[in-house]
Parts: sequence; structure tokens; C-alpha cells
Amino acid sequence: MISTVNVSSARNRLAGLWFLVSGILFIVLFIQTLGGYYGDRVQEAWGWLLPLLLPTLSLIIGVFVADPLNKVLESARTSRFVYRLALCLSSVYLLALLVVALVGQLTKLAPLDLMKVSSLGLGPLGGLVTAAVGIFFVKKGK
Amino acid sequence: MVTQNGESLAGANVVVVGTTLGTTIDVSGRFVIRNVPAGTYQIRITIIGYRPAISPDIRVRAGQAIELEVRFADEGQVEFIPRPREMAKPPPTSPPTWEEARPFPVDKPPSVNDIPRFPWPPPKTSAQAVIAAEALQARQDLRILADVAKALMAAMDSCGYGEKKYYWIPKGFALVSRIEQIQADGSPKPGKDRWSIEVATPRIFSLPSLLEALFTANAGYYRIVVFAVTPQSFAESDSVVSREDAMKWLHGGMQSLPPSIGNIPFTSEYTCTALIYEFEQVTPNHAPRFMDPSNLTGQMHLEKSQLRKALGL
Repeated sequence: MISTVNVSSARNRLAGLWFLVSGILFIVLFIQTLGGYYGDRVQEAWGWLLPLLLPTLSLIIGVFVADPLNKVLESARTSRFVYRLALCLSSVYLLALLVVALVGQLTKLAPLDLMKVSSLGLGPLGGLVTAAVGIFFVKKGK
Repeated sequence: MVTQNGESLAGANVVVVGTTLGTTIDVSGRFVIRNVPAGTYQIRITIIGYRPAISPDIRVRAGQAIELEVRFADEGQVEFIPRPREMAKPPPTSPPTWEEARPFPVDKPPSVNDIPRFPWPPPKTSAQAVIAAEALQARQDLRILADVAKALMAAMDSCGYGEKKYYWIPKGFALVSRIEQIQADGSPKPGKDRWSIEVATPRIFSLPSLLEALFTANAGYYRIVVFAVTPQSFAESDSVVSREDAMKWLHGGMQSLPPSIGNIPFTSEYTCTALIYEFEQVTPNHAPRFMDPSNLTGQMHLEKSQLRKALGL
């Protein structure tokens, strides 16, 4: 028998993770912007972060706005494996974003250069993450 | 040399008879034959359309130049009019004055191969500090410019400036330091970071330093010190030098001061001015830009670099 989880609670946990880490990322970049971390090239830093976060965040927020109380999927269940996969992918992805945003000056690459290089891997990974998370926000459950 | 109509005869051959010395007449109608040994010679001029003309005996003495006017008169007659002139005196044995010592015009460098010329008037500086002339003049050991150069070199050596280069400036010299990386307060960065042209990764040794590394810009500051020793007062030019161009100064100059400049007496007219060229790299992602002006005064730069103390000021 396949182990399952409640879709509604899975949604809430994934959304919580995304909101928490995204909030931290926004705060980090905001403080860095005020601290002159990127000099006059602030737009490039925000231009790196927003496309990597907003697609998934928009999806999550859109679903919550459409169904604030999760009434549609109140009793729906889905595979625990899929849930863990989405959670792990999201965690790795968001952690990678946080690391890139924070350690730019501690590497041999300059911060904006590190962001550009990281986009090569984070872009495709972001696609996978959005797909995995999307299952919980578009799937109607079993 | 001209024809009877006053026209020049460019291309005519001129030979010192009995020697292998010779030349041709240039477009202005002139010719010069150098290094003619002392003796008595005839000059033969060969021109197409004319019979060869041979001058009467012309006596050349050691150290003497002969200006020879050749004029074609009527009926093919050629007139030679020699005018002996004394050449420059041999170099003096005592320390020469500037005018005597210079092997080149005051406002021109000796030659491309002798000592390179520093951009003059100097490019815009970030800061300047005039070293009090009295302070240098008070030093009895500074008699000629070479002594001043030696004192500056010793001071820079004691402050860790390994490489330096000399340039010509009007009636004096400029001594250029290697570019160094400094802290925002003007003190040199420690260790090898001082001579790096890239901003070093921040070192984390405390929570504040970690927060600083994570949230604030890792800016870099670079400095080049140029000592200009000249009796001429000068104003900066409007040109702004880039860090890369300023770094080339270290490759273009000479490692020692040529005697033609070093032997010039160091008189009370001379001043020594420290020209500070500072560059700021706002973040590692930015190209260094010239600081105009510096956040520090020239005297503060000399103080923080320890040069002020090393010069005994």
C-alpha cells in the first residue's frame, strides 16, 4: 500500500517553507542593497533573484487566494514520496539561493558573477522544483 | 646652397676629397658632414648639369665647426665662403648648473632612450602634499638631485615600497611607487594583499566581521605615490588617469636616476611634491575608478603610509 499524506497539510508545509525562505532572501538582498553590497548594480542582483522565486511563489499564492481554506482538498491525499521529493527539491533550491546571495564576497568570484554562474544550474533546478511543487497546487488528489 | 637664381640644388652630392665622408644636399639646400677629423680638406660638389665644383683648402680644427656657404655665381663660377665656428665647451668637472648639465632643452626630455617623460603637467591628482622645502633644504647631505632621489628611495624602502621608477619632469624628476592596496583610512593593507590588484576575500574572525562580509560591500582602495622634484610650480592637467594607465608608470620608468639629472644641484628653488593617485573599487564587480578627490588629504596619506616619518618630516 502506498504511503500517503494529506494534500492540504502538504501544501501548507511547502508554502510555509517557500514563504519563510523567500522572506529571508528578500530581507538579505534588501539589507545588502542598503549596505552598498552591489554598488550601483542593484538591479542586476534583484534581476537574478526575482525570476528564480516568483514563478513558484506566484503559483502558491494564486492557489491560496483562490482557495484560502483548502476546502477543495480537505480530505484529498497524495503520495508521501512525491511530497518528500517536492520538499527536498524546494529545500535544496531555496538553500542554494540563500547561499549564493550570502557568500558572494567570500568566494573568488564577485557576487554578481557568482549569481550569473549559479543561474546556469539554478535555472533548470528551478524548473524541476516548480513542477514538483505544482503537483500539490494543481493536483486534485486521489 | 643655391643656384644663381636663388634655387636650391637638392640631391647634389657633396664629398670631402680624400676621405669617404660625404652627403647629399637636402630640400632646403643644406648639407651637414659630421665627424671630420682636424686637417685641411677640399669639398667637391657634383650636380647634374653643372661641372663639378671643388672648394679651395678649408682648414678644420679640433672642436671646430665650419659653416660653408656655396653660391653659384654667373658663368658657372662657384663661390665657397667658409665661416669657422667654435663648438660647445667640453663638460665641466664640477657639479654643473641645470643649464650646463642638461643634454637637452629644458622643456624637452633628453631623448626617448635616455629617461622617459612623466605626463606633465601631471594628470589630476586625488590629493597632494608639498613637502616643506625648508625641511629638505635643512638636510646638509642633500646637495644634488641624486641625493634627494637617494633620500626618497631610502624612505620608500623603509616603508615597504619595493619597486619605484624615475621619470623626467621639467628640471627635475618624478619618482613613482608601485600601486598598493590600502584601507579606507589610508594605511596599507597587511601582507601580500598590499600589492594585489584584486580585492581580497574578507577574513572572518568575529561576528561583526561576518555580518560586514555578508551585507556590506567589500570595497578596494588603491594608491600610487609620485614624488615630483622640480623648481617649477605647476598645476594639474584636466586629464584623469585610469588605474591601468597609472600602473603602467611602473613599467615605463628607469630604475635609477641618470647622472644628467642626478648631478643637478639641489637648490632652494626646488620643491618636492607628493602626488597621490587613489582609486576606489566600490565592489568586486566594479572597475576601479579614480577618486577625485580622495577622502584623505595628501598629508594624511603620507602619515598613514609612514612616508612622512621616514622622510623625517
